[in-house]
Amino acid sequence: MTNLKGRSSGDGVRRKSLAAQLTWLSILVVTVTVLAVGAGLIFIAAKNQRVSAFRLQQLSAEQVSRLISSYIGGASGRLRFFLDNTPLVTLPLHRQKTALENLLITSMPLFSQVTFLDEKGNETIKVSRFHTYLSEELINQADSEAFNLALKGGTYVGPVSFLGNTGLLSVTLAMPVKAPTAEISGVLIAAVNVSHLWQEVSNIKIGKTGYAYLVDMNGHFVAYQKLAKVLQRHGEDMRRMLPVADFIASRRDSIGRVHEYVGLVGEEVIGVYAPVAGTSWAVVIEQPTREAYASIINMGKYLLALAFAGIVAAGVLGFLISRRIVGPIRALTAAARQFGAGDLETEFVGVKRQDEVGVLSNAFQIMQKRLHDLYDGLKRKLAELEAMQKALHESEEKYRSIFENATEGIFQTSPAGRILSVNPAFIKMLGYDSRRDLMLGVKDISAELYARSEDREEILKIIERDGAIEEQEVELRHKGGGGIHCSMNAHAVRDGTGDIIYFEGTVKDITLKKRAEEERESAWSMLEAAINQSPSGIVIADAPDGTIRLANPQAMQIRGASKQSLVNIDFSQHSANWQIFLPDGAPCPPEDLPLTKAITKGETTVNQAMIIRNQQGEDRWIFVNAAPIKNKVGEITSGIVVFQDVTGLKQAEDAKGKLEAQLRQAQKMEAIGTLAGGIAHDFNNILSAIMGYGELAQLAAGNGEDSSRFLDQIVKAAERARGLVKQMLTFSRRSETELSPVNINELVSHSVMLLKHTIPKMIDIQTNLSNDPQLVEADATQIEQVIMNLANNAADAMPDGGKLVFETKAVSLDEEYVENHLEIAPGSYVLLSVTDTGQGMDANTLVRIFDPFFTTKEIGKGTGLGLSSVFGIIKEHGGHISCYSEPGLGATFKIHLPAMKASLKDMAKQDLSAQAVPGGHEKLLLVDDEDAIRGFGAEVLEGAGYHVALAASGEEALELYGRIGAEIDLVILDLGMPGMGGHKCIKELLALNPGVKVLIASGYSATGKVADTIKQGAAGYIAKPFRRIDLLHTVRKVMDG
Amino acid sequence: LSADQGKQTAGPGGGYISILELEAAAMQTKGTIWASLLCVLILLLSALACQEDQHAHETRVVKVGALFPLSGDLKDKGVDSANGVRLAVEEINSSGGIASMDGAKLEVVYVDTKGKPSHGASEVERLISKEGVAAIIGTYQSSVTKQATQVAERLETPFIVSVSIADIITERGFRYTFRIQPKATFYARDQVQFLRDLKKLAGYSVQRVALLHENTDFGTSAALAQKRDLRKYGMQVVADVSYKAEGVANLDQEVAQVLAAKPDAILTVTYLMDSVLIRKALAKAGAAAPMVDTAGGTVSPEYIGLLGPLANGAFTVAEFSKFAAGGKKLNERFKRHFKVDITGDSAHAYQAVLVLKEALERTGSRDKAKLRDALASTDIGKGDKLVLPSERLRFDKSGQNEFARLFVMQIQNGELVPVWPAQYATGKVKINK
Repeated sequence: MTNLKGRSSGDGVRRKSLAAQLTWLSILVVTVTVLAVGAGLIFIAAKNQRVSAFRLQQLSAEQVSRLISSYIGGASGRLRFFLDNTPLVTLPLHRQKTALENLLITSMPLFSQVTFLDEKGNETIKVSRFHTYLSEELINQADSEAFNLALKGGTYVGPVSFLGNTGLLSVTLAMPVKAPTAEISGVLIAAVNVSHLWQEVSNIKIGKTGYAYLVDMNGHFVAYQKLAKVLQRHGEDMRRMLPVADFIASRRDSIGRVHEYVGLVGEEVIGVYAPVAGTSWAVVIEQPTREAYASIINMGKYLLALAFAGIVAAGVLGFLISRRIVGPIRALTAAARQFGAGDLETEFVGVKRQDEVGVLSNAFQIMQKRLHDLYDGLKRKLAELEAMQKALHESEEKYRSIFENATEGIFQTSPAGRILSVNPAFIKMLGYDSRRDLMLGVKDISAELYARSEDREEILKIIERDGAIEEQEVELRHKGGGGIHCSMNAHAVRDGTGDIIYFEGTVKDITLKKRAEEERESAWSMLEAAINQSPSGIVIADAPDGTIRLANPQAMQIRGASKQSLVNIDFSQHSANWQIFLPDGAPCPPEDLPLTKAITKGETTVNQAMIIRNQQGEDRWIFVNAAPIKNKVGEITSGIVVFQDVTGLKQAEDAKGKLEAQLRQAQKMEAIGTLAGGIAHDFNNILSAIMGYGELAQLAAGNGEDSSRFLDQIVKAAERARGLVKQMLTFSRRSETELSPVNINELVSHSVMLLKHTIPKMIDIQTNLSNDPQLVEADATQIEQVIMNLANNAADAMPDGGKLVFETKAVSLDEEYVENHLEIAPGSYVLLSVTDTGQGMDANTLVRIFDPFFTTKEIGKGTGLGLSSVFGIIKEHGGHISCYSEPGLGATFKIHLPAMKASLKDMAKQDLSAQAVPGGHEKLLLVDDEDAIRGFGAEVLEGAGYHVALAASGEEALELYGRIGAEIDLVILDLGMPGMGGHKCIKELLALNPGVKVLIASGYSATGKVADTIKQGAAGYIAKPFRRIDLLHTVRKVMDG
Repeated sequence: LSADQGKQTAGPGGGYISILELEAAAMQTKGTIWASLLCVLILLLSALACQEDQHAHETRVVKVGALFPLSGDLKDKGVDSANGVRLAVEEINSSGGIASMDGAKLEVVYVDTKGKPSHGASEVERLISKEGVAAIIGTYQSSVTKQATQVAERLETPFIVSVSIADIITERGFRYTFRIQPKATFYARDQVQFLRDLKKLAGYSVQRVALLHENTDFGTSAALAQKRDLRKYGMQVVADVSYKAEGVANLDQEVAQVLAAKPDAILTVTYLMDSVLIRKALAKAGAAAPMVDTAGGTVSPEYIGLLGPLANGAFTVAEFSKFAAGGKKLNERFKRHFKVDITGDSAHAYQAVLVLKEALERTGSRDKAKLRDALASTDIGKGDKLVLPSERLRFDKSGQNEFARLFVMQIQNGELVPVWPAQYATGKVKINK
């Protein structure tokens, strides 16, 4: 088995399977065959291809060579014909010229230029297609090779070159000109245009990409199909080209030899040259090998593809074949391994084939079947054996387990008193470490195991008599000393003759049980003592009938009764028996008794004050506590009531309550006194002033002096009294708070405008308002009052001037802040701070500033109502005001007002923004005795585009209206004014113009006299003090009818 | 990025600091890597953008060389030609450039030949190798064109010859040379035909013809062709006088030589100053024989300007007339632009640009070999693209415009008036018999 495994893993590492071997072999065979055949084919084909390519090259070279040769031959023939048929020498000069011109014209474009030279080499006529040579432009050519050769009778064929600067590829021909006497008397030199020749050469197809070029006798490049190339490379040494080298070497046998080399255009070519007959040139034909050998290369490619396909096919085929052979062998191997591993169950699926593999597979299948049968028989026998063993073992184990694991001690002892066998529980019970320890320690059980040796004698007697003992209590010795209380069961085991072989039995340790019983008894007695000695009365009654089971002595004492008269009495009698009353003196119904409620409803009563009447008829105050007593499953089994006699305590408390009420009353009186005193004091001062100045006025009047000075003072004092009253009125109006969305920033701005008129100029008012509108739900008038109040206080604190700063911002107060400022809840607030740089306050003052009637102002200056009403207003708005100040460092009042919720805010914003400030251009007359109101009103109204006329009194207003009444569209009239006052003024105005529009502005509400006045013919009413926006809205509304 | 890093480090609470810190550190490292990658990317992109810019400029523009005599004797001719190019290029660019090349604009590099062949040739070399032009238009003078086209051929750059009549220009087997103007043989053919038609037109028979021509390619090739055709129709060449036109100051002697042969007509091949001198000399000699020029000095507005009434009566064969159908509209635009009448030279230069544009549209490439092939297959029929008075514009194998059409104009009352052939004639031939 191990061996098999080892081998198989070894196989896994470097298996050279039969399949792979076969596959590789077939691939190898096919590859070698294909490559060998392919290489052979290519070799043969390449040889043939080369031969045919070379042949083609040679033919092309010869063809081109012939073409050039014949072209040049044609040109020289044409020239010779001309000379043969024209007696040039005999003609006069101009006829010579005409003749040459004719030659040029008639042979166009073959000759580009013809020059006639005399025997000395002087050009006599030169006819060109490009230039008309004037006589001074003619030269001598005696040194030229062409001239000299022709003069000797030869025909000169010059190299291919560009004619002068014309860009015309030409060949110079020179021929002798003979006189009729046949002697040479001149030379004709003609430039043959060969550009056309190259067009013809281009027409010869040299494969697809082959080309031809011409080299001169020196191997220099002179002509080519592409003129651009000739222009670029004319005259370039071409001897590096193998055919050109052959040509220069002038070896006859080299003609037609084909070379392979890098050709004219830098590409691998096969090339051959052919000399051009009648010239000293050679034509070179080059054809790129990629084209020349294209078919071989293609063939190679095909062969490679074929070889590849063959290899793949061989691979696939080899794989398929080998799988057919090797597959079954693999299966056999796997099956053998499987048998080896002991699995004879899985059926081996053989190969249904007729060949050797099939036979082998068949034999293998038979072998498996035989093995399988044998194995099955063995397995059955083994199973039977095992079952028997198991049954035996199990039964033994069962009893052993009982013996070993029993919690009770089990023992067998000999009649002689020796221990035969004990179980672990017994050993443990007696405090021994092991069975051996016990056996060694106890030789005679009656002496050493029983606490009292006679016990055994007695037990044996009982057994002898009854046959067994049951639950016999007996004390055994513990190894560590002390006894163990046990309960023993035992009987005698006898043999066939009735003789006792041994005793056996069980022992249970009951020591703990005995001890618990003792403890419970002692606890109970302690509880009993506690109950009996408790200073509170305790009564316990059973559920459900309320029969009293227990009443402690204190209960009996409070009730003033004996035990007998209380215990074992049920509900029906409680009410009469106990006489319990509620604190108001009414008798307590039996079902409302705390104990009853505890038992019947499970309710707990804590410290309920009640009155109990004892048997002597005395009422005792008790504090009653009651609770149900529940068992483990939550059922009410009984109820307990504990009550304490508090009659003495109750009497003391009543006395204290009376004292407190008296105290409160006294405080109230004191407060009222302060209030009355404050106002009275102020009024007294004012009255003193009035009286004093009145007397002075009388005196002055008596003396005939001017008393107006004193009257002024009187009026001033009266005005102060009016102010005081106004303040009181406002203070009392506090309950009429009407909340609406208000932008604090706007209120501050508005108030500041007003303040600029009312507080001394030395005070610099600054605002530092947040950019966003700070919306709160507030009574705008009241908040303005707060602002004005704080500002006035600040102004009073800065008699020498200073800075008054208003700030607003949104703040979010967290729990931490709130913890230090108990009066406020966490959340979003708008913070308005009013800071002055005045005298400041000390700590003592600071704690009292919000108290009513507290003032630091000198007598006569303030009533002390200001800050307390501010405090009241802010409280009413759910806000909070605090003040920070130190003497000499000014003061800051911080007002937190709850910010509007976001959703409300949006709505409010819309509302506010919808309230575009209305204006107009009408003319208004504003009548008010207060400079501040006039100034403020004028500013507001003019700011909104109105024209404003001002009057300080009713009289002034009438006078003005009398003059310019036609222009006035609206009169804004204060009612409370010195002089004729508003009420009279409006009457007069109506008398002047019944259609006059009057807007009443009053600090009084629109009731009573004010209402009457409005009825008289006012067009509208506005409450003072008014806000800018209210004023503008009301004015507009009144104007628009 | 920095804000992101901030968030990463600020994120972890005290409890799991170790892992989160590691993570944060990793993120920071990653952040740094990303940042540097981003930087590199930005640098690369901006570099690319620069390249793109350059590239974009290259793709937006097709550079063309315009090679004309912008100084020297032939300055006016050169400027006329250059103005033709200028007008065409402005019109093409303002109407969207080369549509097939994403509206690429033509950008012309104007170069002065100074009237000298060698200078012209070296300028071509410079235009191609330094300026990188895709094609060249030029040059007005045959002698300059002859050499300039050689350089262009060597450097395989298309050369559109607007004006230059020497035959050889298209007879050298050059593949990159294309000529709009008719070649000398066409001129001679039509001049001789006109002389023959004079009998019919004016009852004037011509038998004796004198030739007077400048001696460069222009004059030589034209005169050679004239001779061929005159002989072909059995007319006599009674005089053949040539001269050097460059810097010429007096041609009285040459004119006298011509008049001595008592010709019935005189064929001239001239540039501007020589043509003026010839006309003056003829007038001085009181010659009455009709003089027919070969679209030389006579077609220049300056000719009439310089000669005044003396110019009246002169004939010239010409390729273009502002009076011809297509010429009128073009002349209006040209005159609006340059405040002078259009000449044949301008018109040919204009046409050369149109031909180039049309080829670019077809090939969509500034590859010079492709452009050459496109030019070779040019075939423009009557329409907006053809301002010359012919049926069609197509190049033969040699690069010569096969359909170049010529007519004869006579200066009458200080204006060039087409008088032949009949379908273009707006005036009648006037001859002092």
